[in-house]
Amino acid sequence: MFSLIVRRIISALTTLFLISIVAFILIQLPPGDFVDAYASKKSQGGVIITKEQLDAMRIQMGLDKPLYQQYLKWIGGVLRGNLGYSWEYHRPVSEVIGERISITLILAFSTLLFTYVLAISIGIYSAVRQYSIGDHIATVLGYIGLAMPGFLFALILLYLGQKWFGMSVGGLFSPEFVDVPWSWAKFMDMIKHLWVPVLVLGMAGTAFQLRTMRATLLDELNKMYVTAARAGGVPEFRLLMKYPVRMAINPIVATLGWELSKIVSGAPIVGLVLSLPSTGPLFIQALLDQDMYLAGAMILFYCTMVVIGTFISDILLMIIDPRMRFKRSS
Amino acid sequence: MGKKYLLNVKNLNISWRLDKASVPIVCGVDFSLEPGKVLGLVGESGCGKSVTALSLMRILPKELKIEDGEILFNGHNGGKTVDIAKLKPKGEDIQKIRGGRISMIFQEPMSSFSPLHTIGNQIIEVIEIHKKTARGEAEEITINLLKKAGIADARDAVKRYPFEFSGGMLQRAMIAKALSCNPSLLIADEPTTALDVTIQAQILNLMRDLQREFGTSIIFISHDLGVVGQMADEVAIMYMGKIVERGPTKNIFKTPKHPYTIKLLDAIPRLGNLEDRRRLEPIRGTVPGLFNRPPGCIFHDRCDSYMSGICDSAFPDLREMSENHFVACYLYEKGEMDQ
Ligand SMILES: Nc1ncnc2c1ncn2[C@@H]1O[C@H](COP(=O)(O)OP(=O)(O)OP(=O)(O)O)[C@@H](O)[C@H]1O
Ligand SMILES: [Mg+2]
Repeated sequence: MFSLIVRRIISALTTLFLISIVAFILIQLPPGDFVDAYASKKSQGGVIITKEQLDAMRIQMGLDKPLYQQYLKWIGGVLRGNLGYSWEYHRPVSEVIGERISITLILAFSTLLFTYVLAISIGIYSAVRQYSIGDHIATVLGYIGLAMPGFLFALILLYLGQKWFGMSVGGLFSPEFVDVPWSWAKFMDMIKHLWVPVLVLGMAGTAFQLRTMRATLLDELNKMYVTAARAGGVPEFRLLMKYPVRMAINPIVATLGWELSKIVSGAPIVGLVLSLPSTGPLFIQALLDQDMYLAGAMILFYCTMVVIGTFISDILLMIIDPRMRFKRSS
Repeated sequence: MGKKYLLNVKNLNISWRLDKASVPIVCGVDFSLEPGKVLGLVGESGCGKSVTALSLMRILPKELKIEDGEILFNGHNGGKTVDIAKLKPKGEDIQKIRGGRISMIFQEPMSSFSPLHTIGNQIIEVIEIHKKTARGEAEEITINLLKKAGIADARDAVKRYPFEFSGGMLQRAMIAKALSCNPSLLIADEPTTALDVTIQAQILNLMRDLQREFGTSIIFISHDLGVVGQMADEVAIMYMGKIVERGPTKNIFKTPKHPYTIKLLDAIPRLGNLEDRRRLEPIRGTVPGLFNRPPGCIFHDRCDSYMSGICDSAFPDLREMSENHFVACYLYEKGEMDQ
């Protein structure tokens, strides 16, 4: 088991390394660079910058060097904990994204928790009470959840919040807490606002995982081993939880990394619509500005989350399914 | 009826409930079993053997319902009779009986254990539930049982998962699990069908030995009359949800009465058959589907002794031909053809 985990860690690190290369190339792909973007912005403001000035900027930023040298310089810094400098904000990248990352993390993990708690419990209910009214309601809500894009749902919530409660459901803090340092009161205020983005971000995933849970559990409930355990006199609730539910949770846990990647990739758009102080809006702006180190750091951050999610899901699977431990070790 | 029965099943009817109709699957089955005896339940695939067995423990799938009948069981509560058919299928009473007083061995050992839990865990659980023993003690009991069931390295085996066992070993473990709380009735639903022939013989021997040692009554289900002949004191022959003949094993083999029983016996390969090079004769026709049960005697459309106007009128009653030997066939009704 230990050697399996070590192997997993090595493959996760390799994945991250490859991703960093791809990410770096992708950021460079759009025509032009930060200097061009900067120049066109300035010229809109009526300021003309000469070609010599631009070239000087490039040399200063290292943009004149070949791509691989730029990459090596960047990744070397990253490995030493230096994420580089954001030209747009004139501050180190780590400072720019610091607080926003913690908010994104809170958002992603609350959404994940929400998704799994809801999907598993409603899934169990739906399967055990198949074709009951509750099951039908869950099914209909599930289809809506699957079909509606997150940003549309966010817009609807914004509209309804405005119309019915006369308040904005956007943002993550009440106005009085926006610019004050963290405190218990600020944290509680965030929890109160958190449900809207969590609902929007988690809706599709919850609906999907709920369908999976229901279908797998229905399948498992009819399996021979359940009847056999029942024939041993195991009380119904304990039987349900110990045998078929544990089996049915397998495919759900297996897709944890994938679910996290859906949440992470949905987050920027939803963050923008709901004007959240998360990394999402920042990321989109960084891409538009060609603020290369900032964008690179964020892609790396998102990918790390997904890789960690996959890693956690693999470890969990090994814990709950003995067949995993054996198959891979032999 | 002076005899003390362990189990007495009367007029058991089970049907498959669909939205608009219900399809009969077991239709008025009667049989009884004395303590310490082995009853063989025989019939072709799909005749309702497993459904009957599952109903005795009230572990039928949701869509199957006991419509009528009694399942009187005396092996519980110091001999007070309980009607299992009247118990709530999720109630505490039946849970105490399951695994404690009546237990079951299933056809497919591979799929009858949870793949996520060790064998030990799944046997210990049953002991803990019924005997209220501490874990350590339950584990010792389990190890002893596994040894008795012929698993050599029992102390290691409790820690292993089902996929680390062979089918034969799992069937041994299932026997150990079934006997763990000293039940008075053991239902073995084709316990050897999924195993290869040499293992089959070992498992049958094991069951016979343990039956003698524990004095457990057994309902032994099989589609193989030959196997049942080795195990059972009494045999009941089932066809399309009905018992068409039942009696002491010797009588069934020596003087079978029902045309269906006779055909089943003809289909067993025997040395005699091989010598005179007679071909094994399959039974003409196939079992009709659940949705078109023939009227009258359900076997009439495959029967060589079919009597028009009689056999297709109503199902014949079981009549006693000799002591304890019953048959449901118009050939043996008074005033009909002598046999
Ligand atoms: N869950 C179910 N829903 C509907 N019909 C069922 C169900 N289980 C069994 N049946 C039907 O009931 C009939 C009897 O099935 P059963 O499993 O008791 O047969 P069996 O005699 O045990 O056969 P086999 O030798 O193949 O095990 C079959 O026709 C089967 O199709
Ligand atoms: Mg069967």
